[in-house]
Amino acid sequence: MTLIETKNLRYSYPDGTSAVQGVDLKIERGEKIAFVGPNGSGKSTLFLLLNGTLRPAGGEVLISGRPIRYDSRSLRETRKKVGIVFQNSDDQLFAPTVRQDVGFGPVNLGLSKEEAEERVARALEYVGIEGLKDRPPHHLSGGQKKRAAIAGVMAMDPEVMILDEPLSNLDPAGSEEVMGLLEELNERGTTMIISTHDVDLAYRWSDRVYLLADGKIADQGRPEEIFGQTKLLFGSGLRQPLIMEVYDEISRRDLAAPGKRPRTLPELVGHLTPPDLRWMKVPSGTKVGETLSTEGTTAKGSDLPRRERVKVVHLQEEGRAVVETLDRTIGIGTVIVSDTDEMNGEDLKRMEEEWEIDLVGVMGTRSRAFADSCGITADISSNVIDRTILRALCGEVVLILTNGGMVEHTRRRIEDYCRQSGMRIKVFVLDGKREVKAGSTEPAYSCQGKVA
Amino acid sequence: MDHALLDDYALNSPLRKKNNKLKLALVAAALLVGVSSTSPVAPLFIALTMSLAAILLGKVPARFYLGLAAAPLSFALFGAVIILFFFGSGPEIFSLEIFGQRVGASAEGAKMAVLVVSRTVSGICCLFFLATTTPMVELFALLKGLRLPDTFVELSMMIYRYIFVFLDVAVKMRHAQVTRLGCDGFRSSVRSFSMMAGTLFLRTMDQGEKLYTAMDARCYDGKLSLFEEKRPIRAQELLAASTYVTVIAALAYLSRGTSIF
Amino acid sequence: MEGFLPHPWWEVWYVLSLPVVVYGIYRINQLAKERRETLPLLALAGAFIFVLSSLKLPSVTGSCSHPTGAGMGAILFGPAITAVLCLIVLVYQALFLAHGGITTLGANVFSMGIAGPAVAYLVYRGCTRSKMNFYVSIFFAAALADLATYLVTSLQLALAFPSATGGVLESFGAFGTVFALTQVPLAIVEGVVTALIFKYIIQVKGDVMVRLKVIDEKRLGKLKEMISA
Repeated sequence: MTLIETKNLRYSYPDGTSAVQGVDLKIERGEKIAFVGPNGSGKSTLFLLLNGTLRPAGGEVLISGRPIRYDSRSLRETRKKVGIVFQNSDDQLFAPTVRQDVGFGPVNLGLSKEEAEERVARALEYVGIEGLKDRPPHHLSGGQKKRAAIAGVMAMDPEVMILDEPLSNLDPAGSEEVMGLLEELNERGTTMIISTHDVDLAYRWSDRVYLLADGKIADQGRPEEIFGQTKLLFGSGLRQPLIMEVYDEISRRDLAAPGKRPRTLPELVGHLTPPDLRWMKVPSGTKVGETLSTEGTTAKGSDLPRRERVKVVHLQEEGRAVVETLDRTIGIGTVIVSDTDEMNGEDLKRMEEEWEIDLVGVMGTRSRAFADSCGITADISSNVIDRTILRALCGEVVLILTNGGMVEHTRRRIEDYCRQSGMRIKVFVLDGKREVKAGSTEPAYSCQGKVA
Repeated sequence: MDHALLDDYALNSPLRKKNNKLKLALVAAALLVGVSSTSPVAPLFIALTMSLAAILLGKVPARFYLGLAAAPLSFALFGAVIILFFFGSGPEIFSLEIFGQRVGASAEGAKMAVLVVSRTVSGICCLFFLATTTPMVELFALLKGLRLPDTFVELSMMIYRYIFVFLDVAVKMRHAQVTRLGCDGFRSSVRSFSMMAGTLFLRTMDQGEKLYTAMDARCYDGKLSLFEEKRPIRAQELLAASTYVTVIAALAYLSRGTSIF
Repeated sequence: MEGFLPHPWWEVWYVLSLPVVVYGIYRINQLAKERRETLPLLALAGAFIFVLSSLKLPSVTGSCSHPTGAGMGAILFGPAITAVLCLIVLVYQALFLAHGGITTLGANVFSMGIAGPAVAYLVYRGCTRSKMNFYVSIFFAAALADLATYLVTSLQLALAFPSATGGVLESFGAFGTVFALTQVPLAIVEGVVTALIFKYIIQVKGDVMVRLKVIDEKRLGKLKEMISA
């Protein structure tokens, strides 16, 4: 369902310069949209038009199919549906304590005191700053402030959340936290719109991209399409995402398998073809043209079985030959996705005994709290799904602790990857529906264990 | 230039969670008694007890406390000196020659000077106790409870929040100026200061607009809400506070009129 | 200085200041009804005044002095509203910086928040009407505001501690002379600084002044010409 639509939207600043010139856009429910454009391209102005703060000079904005009306009651309705998190948290956090600031929205919506308090508590818990609720904003770090600002908008339960440059002024840890949060919110059903000039972020995160330049939409579409048009990008003062650039370069050198352009690191790795020719030690007596099957270990020396079939192309001095790789399989890795909402510490212990877990990844604030309470430190705490895939490709066993809708989301992502890349990763989903029997080789959990 | 240190101390104070009405009432009573006392005895007692409370119960570092007291104390001493020489009649205790003029200090003047200093010290210590144990964020709920006008309390809350934002900005601007030698000599200092203040002011106006837009986006209708924390009073605290107030009041009454001279 | 003023004086000044503050709050309420952005704007102005007053003014003598910001506030917002802002700022100064006090709040509001701004406002309006140079009138407004504040403070002290020989008058002379050492240079410097601040604002973003109804468009134009000339 189309949540936001604009038709030929136009707006000029009071001093006459045109900010938005004839913008048509459509945002569907549940989408993750990125507006990408250089500074000054009109992104912030556009957002203020979408929530009724600015009145267009021409064209119209439709929310859920109905044009915005500018009387105060209709504006309230609009702003309840469309929430904005501004670029600078100091512009948004104005109350003496975090709790009071987050409560500002719910109270303005006319909720009862109890309901407002409940919303605030939920929002604070969700973004993970419950412990900071009595602090004044100037005692918070950049990432915490941003999360507090998000909580403040979240507490109003908007259908669409717009974030203007959400990662500006955040350090990498803070950025990861916020992006993880945005992912969770989208899983819950909130339509997300961000503006950014970080092309890498837009490329890997969004479903659709709107390219903005000089107040006009230069192009829109899926990230792979938009970011592939280098001329357009450079003309708009942007650049190509790094992963795409790397892929293009290795493609040119014939080192990449053809296929859809990769969006994430695992996808990129999946496109790499192994080197065809290399030197290898061969047993004496080997002849040219012979096919050998080697068993070895991976370069790191771990005990993962690795099998290769090679053909001897040229014999060097005793024991060395140039061989051509025919095919190679690395031991298949395993991923166990476990829903922490259905688990307790005992289950975790049992799991550790049953499987030889190499790494633990944790995703989501509730799961992080669960892991902390069990005394587990996560090996992977950011970009969990991608990094898990990468490790599973090297044959390792990874346990992902997550919760809610993200369990399914994780499974789907890994399956999608396997399908597209042809790699094989075993995925088991544990949502605790049945008891585990100690000592069994197959976990007796729910039947969602699948081999992708 | 870490200015609002006192509030930061209060936010981390071990006494933060005690009932705020009680703390405020206690401090107000002590202030009143100290200011109304006609002899130095009660105020000095109050000063001693309040400072000990702040240092021992409130865990304020003693050295910091004394440093803080230095400035207002020196003001008080300054004023006291004037009073010493100009106030009061009666026999002269001693006199000084300043610029060829003879100024004399009478017994009454000395009495008054001592009294004034003691009252000031007592007041300062009461103030410090409040400032280091009760963060502003707690006091807002109190102010609303006292039925002060909403506008007033809301203004105070927002001013509180933005003081820190602007302090940060001002400090950074200052550093930037100093790095470019903007504070060499009086004239350039004045110019730099004015530029910084002017820029700060423009930022203020800008920030006002942005803040308003952000508040509007969350359906601001002109009223602010407050979530109050319930902080229960323990009977022993109430007892201790009332005892204290009674003691100092009695002390002030009994010692009325006495003095050193 | 907390506790310096004795009974009944500290109460007297509270009583005298109260009506002005109440009127100021009333004015703010009125303005806020017309334009909702009044409250956030005034709040930020209050924060600005606080921060300004916590900075050290450059001084020739090397002594430590702080601007009051009250003169500037009065020109921008009028004396009644400035009184309210000064009240809040004074409370914060007491609680955050240990400058001033709570019993002396009434007296300080009267001297710094009412008397000073009132003088600034009257002087500014008077000078404007007499077509004096804009910046000179600002200088006088701010400097005289500070002088007024200091004189009123001296009066408050003199009333509380009248000299035995010469009564209030002699005390006033004594306090006044002693404070003059620091206060007169402060007034002059703050006057200059305030004028320069206004000049800077006009140069960079003069329409702010028009929006706040300090000057009108025409004047702004002329002033800008003056600067670029």
